[in-house]
Amino acid sequence: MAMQSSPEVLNPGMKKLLREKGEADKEVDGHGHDCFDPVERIIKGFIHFKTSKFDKYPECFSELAKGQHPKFLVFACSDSRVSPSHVLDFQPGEAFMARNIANMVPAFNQLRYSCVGATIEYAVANLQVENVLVIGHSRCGGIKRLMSLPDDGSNYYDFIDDWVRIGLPAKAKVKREHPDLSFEQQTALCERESVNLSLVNLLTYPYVQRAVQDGTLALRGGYYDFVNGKFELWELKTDITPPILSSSIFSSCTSALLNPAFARLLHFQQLPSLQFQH
Amino acid sequence: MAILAPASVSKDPLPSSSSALTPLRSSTIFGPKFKFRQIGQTQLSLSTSFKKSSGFKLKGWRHSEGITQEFQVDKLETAAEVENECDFFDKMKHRFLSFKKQKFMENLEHYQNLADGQAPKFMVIACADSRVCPSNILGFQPGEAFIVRNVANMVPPCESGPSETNAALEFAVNSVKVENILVIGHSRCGGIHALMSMQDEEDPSFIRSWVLVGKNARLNTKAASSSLSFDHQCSHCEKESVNCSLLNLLTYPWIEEKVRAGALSLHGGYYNFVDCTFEKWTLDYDGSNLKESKEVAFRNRSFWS
Repeated sequence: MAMQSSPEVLNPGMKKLLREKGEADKEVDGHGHDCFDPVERIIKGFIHFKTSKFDKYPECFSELAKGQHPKFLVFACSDSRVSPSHVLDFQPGEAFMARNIANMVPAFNQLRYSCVGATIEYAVANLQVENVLVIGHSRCGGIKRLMSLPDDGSNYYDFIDDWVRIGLPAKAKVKREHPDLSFEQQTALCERESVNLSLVNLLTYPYVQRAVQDGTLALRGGYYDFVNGKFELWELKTDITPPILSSSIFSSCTSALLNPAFARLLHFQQLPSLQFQH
Repeated sequence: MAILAPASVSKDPLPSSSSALTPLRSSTIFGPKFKFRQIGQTQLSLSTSFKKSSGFKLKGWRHSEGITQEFQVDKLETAAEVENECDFFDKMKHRFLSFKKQKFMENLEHYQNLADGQAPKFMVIACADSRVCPSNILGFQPGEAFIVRNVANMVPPCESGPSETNAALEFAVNSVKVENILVIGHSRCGGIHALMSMQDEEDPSFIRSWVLVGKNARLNTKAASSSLSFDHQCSHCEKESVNCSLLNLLTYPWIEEKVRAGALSLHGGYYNFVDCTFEKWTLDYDGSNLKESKEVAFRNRSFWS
């Protein structure tokens, strides 16, 4: 109900029914809905914050007003049940936070995804956060929609379907590796694989890659299971191996390069490429 | 999607079931080799995507039925890395377990109901700024508000095409069926500062591309308050941008239709964290005022301090 309306007079029969249900004290409007006042709800929330936090710690908030120096960039779903400020108790000033459908991070694309790109650019290049945490969660509507997308590429929802397609590689991986699981089980796996995909996509942003290689930025994934009250946490580690061939050896190994197995190893170690193996 | 690198098996006090332990996975991207390492999970069940290795590294914690156990740390890491990771890991563990004890378990029935489905009455669009989380400043509890956060709390118009923000709008309005959308701006917004200080000759960047969504707010601000200091102009633009976002919401036909029918209300808000005040106003729209005068009115303005 968007606008508060005056309760209509209830007939005696309706009043008796409500009393019997123990709802006699509740106000209802003519449609039988509770009278929810959104403005009152916002006022109460703000006053509680002001009196219990802001006014109690004026020095902290005064410092924060001068500038923010969060250590975290957090990606979380927009779902009303998974705010990281609740689940992980992030306080004002701690986490620069992006929230979108299914907590997705697309690969670098200045034309299509300037919104997420701006978030990452500001947090990593300007604020110089030290940690990126991408948090997935149980019963995610966005991941469910991803898993339900028709194979013909058609969109039922114009914007939702276009957005969740970012997660298609995660969906493909789950379906390929676990074809015999039920839809619900595959969806639960995809909720986690999508986080991994987002972590990998983060590395397509040059300032992220630079900071990770410099050791000043850590990339971590999380999964909040609100059905069972559990939390999983993991991280993405990077290693840069030393070269496996020097130029002098290279010139004498021409015949070895003709060996397909050797060429694959060289490609795997040195050439910048997106390559996944089972 | 990933290879599993063989590694030493950690000795730990876990039961003999190897399915409880999480192996190391590796995949190669852009030259460097990357590994996903599970550093914590809260029960003994294993994510099935990790199953395929004969060896594994595990560092983390497990919370199952009230018991928290520590695993042995991987010896190949440097001492500094271990210390930093332990600090992070311990911090997150402590925070989650506190939430679980003080909120989740104390309100178990409520959380169980929420697990079955969400029905928030609000959609909130707020800035990603670390100081303005709506869960903190407006006390939104789990289940109350579907929240989108981006740089400078902007809403692009419908004609700009699919994006992160309008995907969330479509989900919130058409699937979750929220009754209120609240766009909250705030003081000292870095995104608005970038918008107001933008020069034509600047190199392209994500921030520049994104904040241009608010170019009308910048134009309106320059027209209305060019005599003010730059800081005051930014403050003006922070609120003007909220209004532009509210108007952009009306460019979505399925939003405009619901607002006209009275099933959806659009509210603007402004949080000033310098002196801790909050302003709130509501869009007054009946479907006719935009077409006639290209302007909208606002009602129910409030200021709380």
